[in-house]
Amino acid sequence: MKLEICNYSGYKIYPGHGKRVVKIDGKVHIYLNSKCQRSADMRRNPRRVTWTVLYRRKHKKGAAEQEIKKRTRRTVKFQRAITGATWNEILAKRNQQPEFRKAQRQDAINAAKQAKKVKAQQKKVTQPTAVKAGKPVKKPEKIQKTVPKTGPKKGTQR
Amino acid sequence: MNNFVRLLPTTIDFIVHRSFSITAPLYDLQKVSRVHVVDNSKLALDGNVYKRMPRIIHCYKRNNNLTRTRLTAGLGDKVLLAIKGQMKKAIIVGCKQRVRKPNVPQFDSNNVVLIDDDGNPVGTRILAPIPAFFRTRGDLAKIAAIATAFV
Repeated sequence: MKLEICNYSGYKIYPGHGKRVVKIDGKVHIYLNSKCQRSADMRRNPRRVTWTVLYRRKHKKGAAEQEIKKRTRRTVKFQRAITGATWNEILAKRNQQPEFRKAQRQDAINAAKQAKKVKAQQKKVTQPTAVKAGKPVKKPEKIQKTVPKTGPKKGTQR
Repeated sequence: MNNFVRLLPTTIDFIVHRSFSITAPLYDLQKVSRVHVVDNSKLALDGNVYKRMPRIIHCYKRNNNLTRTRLTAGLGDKVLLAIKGQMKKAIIVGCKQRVRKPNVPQFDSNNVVLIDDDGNPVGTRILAPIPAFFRTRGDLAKIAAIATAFV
């Protein structure tokens, strides 16, 4: 036999107990006893009636619910590669020494300066007219080398 | 109105002191009982909104005991209704009276399904839940066939 559950109290209804009522709108309610049926007829909300399962669930009575809450979630940190850079590449960039980076920066600056010089000379060739003193001299631009990020970003949303 | 109001408390006190035992009301279906037709037939739809509710005017009980003063009908019994000024046979599919049998539900309204003289339902669908034992009883199989929900 099938064990029913009382619509009102949430208790199990064993065979030989309980009452089944069909309301005018066609909904079927199964009550354990007349106490549940009378409470339902009086339109008492089971969520406010202390002895029902619905009340206990709503107000979190009982040990089972508290145990589940104690088990907190732990985030797992996971290192992985990205498209465009394998894990080894990322590691290599992360482990670069500051002197190495500085040297790289200097090389880049020098290269840029050199390129500028070549450009300026080319311009002089194409424009043989004398350059006035009032012409503003271009300053060599400093190239900012972007420092690679270490590890996964903090505060990213899942 | 004033007279009535003055009378009421005293009669209640009288009852309390004498401790009458009053039985619960019986919701048996008998002659003049008003019912609700749960068909989707035209007569049912018109009959439910007519100036008078459909009423039972005769019960065709199987074990007809003619000496009884009250002839009552329950779930699965055939009755004769007066709907919209006409007479029509019907079968009771929902009863407010509580039946103390296992797996037989109690309904909040007295429901009825119209049938013709051969026992075929007039409508094509039944809009309320039907007791499950309609499936097992042979004479109610036609009703069960057009039912949408069972209880």
